[in-house]
Amino acid sequence: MNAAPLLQIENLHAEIDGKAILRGVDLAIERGQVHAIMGPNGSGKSTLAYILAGKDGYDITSGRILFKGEDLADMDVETRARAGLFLGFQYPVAIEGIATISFLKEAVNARRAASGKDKLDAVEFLKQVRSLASQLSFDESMLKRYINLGFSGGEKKRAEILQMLLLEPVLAVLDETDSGLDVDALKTVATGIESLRSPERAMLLITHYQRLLQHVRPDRVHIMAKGSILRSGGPELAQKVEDGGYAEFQQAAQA
Amino acid sequence: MSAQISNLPKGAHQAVTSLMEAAERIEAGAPTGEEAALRRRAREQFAALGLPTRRLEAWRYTDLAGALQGPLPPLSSAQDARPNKTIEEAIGLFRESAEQMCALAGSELSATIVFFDGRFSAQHSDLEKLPKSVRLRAGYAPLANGDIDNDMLGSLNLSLASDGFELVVDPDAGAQNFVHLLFLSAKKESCSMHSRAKVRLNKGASLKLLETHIHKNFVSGLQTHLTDVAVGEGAKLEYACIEYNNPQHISLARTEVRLEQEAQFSCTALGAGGKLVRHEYNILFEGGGAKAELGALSLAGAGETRDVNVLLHHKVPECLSDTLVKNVLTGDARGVFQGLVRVEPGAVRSNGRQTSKALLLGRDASMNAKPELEIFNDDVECAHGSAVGEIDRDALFYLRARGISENDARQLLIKAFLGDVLERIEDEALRINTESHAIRWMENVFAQTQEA
Repeated sequence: MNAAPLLQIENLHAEIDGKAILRGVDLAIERGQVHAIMGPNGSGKSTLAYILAGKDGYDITSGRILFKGEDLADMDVETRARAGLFLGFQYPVAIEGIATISFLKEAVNARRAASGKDKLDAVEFLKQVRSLASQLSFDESMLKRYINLGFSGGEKKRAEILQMLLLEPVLAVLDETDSGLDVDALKTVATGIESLRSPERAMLLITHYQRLLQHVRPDRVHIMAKGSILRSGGPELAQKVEDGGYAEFQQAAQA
Repeated sequence: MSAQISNLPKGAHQAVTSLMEAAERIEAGAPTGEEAALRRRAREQFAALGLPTRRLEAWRYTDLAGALQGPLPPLSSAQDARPNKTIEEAIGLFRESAEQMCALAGSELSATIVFFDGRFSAQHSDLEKLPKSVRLRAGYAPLANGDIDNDMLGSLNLSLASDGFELVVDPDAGAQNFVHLLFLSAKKESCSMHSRAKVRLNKGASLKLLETHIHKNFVSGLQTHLTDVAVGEGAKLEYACIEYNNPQHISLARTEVRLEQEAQFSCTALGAGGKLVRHEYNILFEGGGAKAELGALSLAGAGETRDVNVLLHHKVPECLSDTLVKNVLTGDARGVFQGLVRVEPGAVRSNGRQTSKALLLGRDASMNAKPELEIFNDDVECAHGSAVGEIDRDALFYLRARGISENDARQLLIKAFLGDVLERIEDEALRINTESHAIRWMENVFAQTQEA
């Protein structure tokens, strides 16, 4: 029954305020796989991530996205999340007035309710959060603070990974999770990502640089520019970008 | 600046006429000549002043005459104020819920003092639970105070007040747990209800007060309630007020606070609903080094107006005032905030902060905010700010992207908007109690906006 890919993007065109951003994206991700999309700034990578999560303001002008065989267009933001789609934000949103720990609890219980499970026992929940926080070197005192408010760049990204590990998504889309991280933080985050890797799940890492991919080895790498995927290949493609930049791919596409 | 009674629109004219007639009757039945004279003076003053019009700066955004729609007979006798079974149950429930909240915070409820339809109810109050150093006296006579009765609201209230109380705390004494003042009403037909209160904290005293006004069933009525607070040298009053109103309810309240040297006053008010609800706070710094913290949360829906009017008068050096006013407005609700921090020439090293924030949830909701500073010396630190906005779309998306439903996410964001005011309540039992009301309140209103 799992013959169809977990995620199937077909000829996706999208625009924002009448300006075309995605110009025909095709991508299939199978369960168990880790894919990476690399590309220069403005190539449409983040737009793709937002469209997957269901953010307002983007018009899909043609094509479609199937997640577990269902058209994402029929699912609102929270339904996608509850079905196991997770977006790790490039710029996590700070929210004054909501403690991180209460937010995590709401999110976990919403996900559990969607799969017919009872609310997690408060003690059990705390135990789980604490253990993950320590694994990610995420200071426990941060849990009491408002969501992302006053967090450093690294703390925000650790908090994103913490959420991901708690929510155990089927498909994690991580948008520039490596940006703004020092070497140690990058390793910690990469270990967190690796720990979620399993035959049931898939991941899509969106990144500008190759450095995260040294820690989390992708099965497939796609080079994206100007709203479409120019080339797909194995992990060696990432090394090629590292050595020669994106110019070569862009020239090849124009030729 | 004020409308003579003869020039009022029909509904307001009927209302004022009925109020004046009632005042005359009350005056005639006054138990002492002294009281009759006091009431007469107040009534004559009210007649001379008339109703404030919007040309008066303090009433610029609030149309009182327009809100009054017909006669308002008073709750004239004590016989009228007989609680029925529903009210008995309501009193029980509020007492129980307050006790539970106290238990959550590891403390107990000191005493519940019940006012029903504007009158003290000895039967439902447990004065015996008050510590000896905290004394409550119910009645009208002890409450005359020339100073606060020189305007429309003061004179109207003084001429008609049916009951009130005086709460006095002895020097260096206090109650460890909060005292609950519970005001309920159930009158279904249009009428008016007027009460006054005095709270006196002597030197070094401390008190925590919760005042709850539940007027959900009080239809198209008018309520006035004046509270005169004096916090003595080094004394500390922590005050939380909660009120729920019927959408037809009109309420005019004033809390006047005098602070002596090093006195501390903090007040957090949570108010929901009402056709026109206005609360004036006059906070007067009379002794150096005093501190006042005021937080007002208002929630209004379609057809409702809530008005918070604040004066912080820094007359003496080194006082601190901090005002935080928040409005959540749905439908075509209107929020009003007028705040003035006045710093006199001698009030050096004053610190005054004022912030107004409004969350507009309805497309036709509006907020009028006017924080002002009047500073007559150079050695002060004052700041004011005002912001009006809608729910942050990015925050909403972020929460939904974690599987939280749009409804729940909105509720979380609204609670978050209100949270910082509630966090200022120092006493845990008082805070938990107020928070639990805020949450219930949000959920109710939220359910209504979903239906709309």
